[in-house]
Formats: sequence, C-alpha cells, structure tokens
Amino acid sequence: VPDPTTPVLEAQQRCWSYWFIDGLPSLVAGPSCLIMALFLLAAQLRPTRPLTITFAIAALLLYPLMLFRMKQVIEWLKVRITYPRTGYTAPPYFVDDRDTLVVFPVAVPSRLAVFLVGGGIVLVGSGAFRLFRYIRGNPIAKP
Amino acid sequence: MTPELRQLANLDRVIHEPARLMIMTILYAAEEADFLYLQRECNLTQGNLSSHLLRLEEAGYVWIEKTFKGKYPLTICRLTRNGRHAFESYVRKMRVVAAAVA
Repeated sequence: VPDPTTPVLEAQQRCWSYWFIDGLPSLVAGPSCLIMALFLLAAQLRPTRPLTITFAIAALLLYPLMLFRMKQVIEWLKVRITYPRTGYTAPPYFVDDRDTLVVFPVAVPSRLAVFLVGGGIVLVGSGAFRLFRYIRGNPIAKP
Repeated sequence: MTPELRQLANLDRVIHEPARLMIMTILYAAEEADFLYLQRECNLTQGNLSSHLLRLEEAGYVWIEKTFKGKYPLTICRLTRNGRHAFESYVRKMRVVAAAVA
C-alpha cells in the first residue's frame, strides 16, 4: 500500500473535499436546520394551537429522515449543477454497497449522535427561551 | 549498478509515463471519476487524456463505462483489480529505487 504521505493521500483528500467544494451540502443542511428551528420556535410561541403542535411533531419526525436522505438530495442537485461543469468523482465510501456495508457501523451511530446532540441543543435552547420569558414576565418583587 | 537500480528496467512503462501516472494516482485515490474531473485534475487536453485512457484500458488497468447520472452523460473511469495491483507494485519498486539513489 502506498505511503500515506504520497500524492495518493493528497488526491484522496481533494476527492473528499470535492464533495463539499461547491457548497451544496451546506446549502442543503442550513435551510433544513432553519426550517426545523422555525417549526420548533413556532411551537414555543403558540404551544396550544393544534396546527403548531402538528407542525412541531412533523418537524421532529422529518429531522432524522432529512439526516438520512440528505446525501440523495445533495446528489440530485450535484447532478444538475456541479457534475456537468466540473466533473464527477465519488469519495471512496460512496461507491457501492460493499463500501456502504463497511461504513454502516460507523455511519449510523455518528448520525444518531448528531441527531441526539442536535435534539439536545434544541431542547436546552427551548428551555432557556422559556426561562427567559418566565423571568421577563415575572420580575423579582421589590421589597 | 546496484540490484535496486536495475529495477528501473523492470518498471511498468504503461504507468511510468507522467500523464498516465497522474491518472492512475487519481483513480487509485478516488475509486471512480469521470472524464471531465480527470481532465481538470491532470490539466490535459481532451485528446491527450483520451489517448492515455485508451492506453490504460488496453493494458487492462482502467475500466471505462459510458453512463448517465440523471440526464447527463458521464464517462466514468475506474481502476481494475489489475490496475490497482500494478500501481501498488510500481510504487513499491519506485520507493526502492528512490531509496537507493538518495
């Protein structure tokens, strides 16, 4: 196996960074997180409305789905925007099922961790927001 | 001349050509790439890249497939198992030669 300090590693890194170089992964991940945040914020502001609750539950269900389907969405965009202009290359772990099986034990826990951490941040954020509203609505009584 | 340096005569000349070595290096790292990506990375003209790919395909090192992603046609190139072994063997030999020269 070639030495990892050779141009092989550089070519591999260029190939991996090629997936992110057009900014599409960020453009897809950013708005999807923003939509999630808006849904959850709406649920905090108007918690009793059934429509908001429905939206919040739908958002919570859509979030993991989005995490797992993001690659397909990005690929769909890349096929139309990036590949015809600058060419196509697949990072090694995207090639076929053989590689997917190798990556699977790593990919699922890491995505689950992202989901849990993201969910935790949202929960802490919403808690902090409620606390802020409570403190603002209930100032300390002056003696 | 040392035996290590004599290995220079046994180097795979198909891979040893600089443009083909670039192509092989990229394909070894990337698993698969299309014609346009290789052209941009190697900074070769269409004709030049095409002839080098043909040479590598004839040697059985590269497998070329014309396919579509969505509506867009792609010429996807991959290293064959033979190509992968040949590249690894070439790198090993070159390392020995480089160590002998240095």
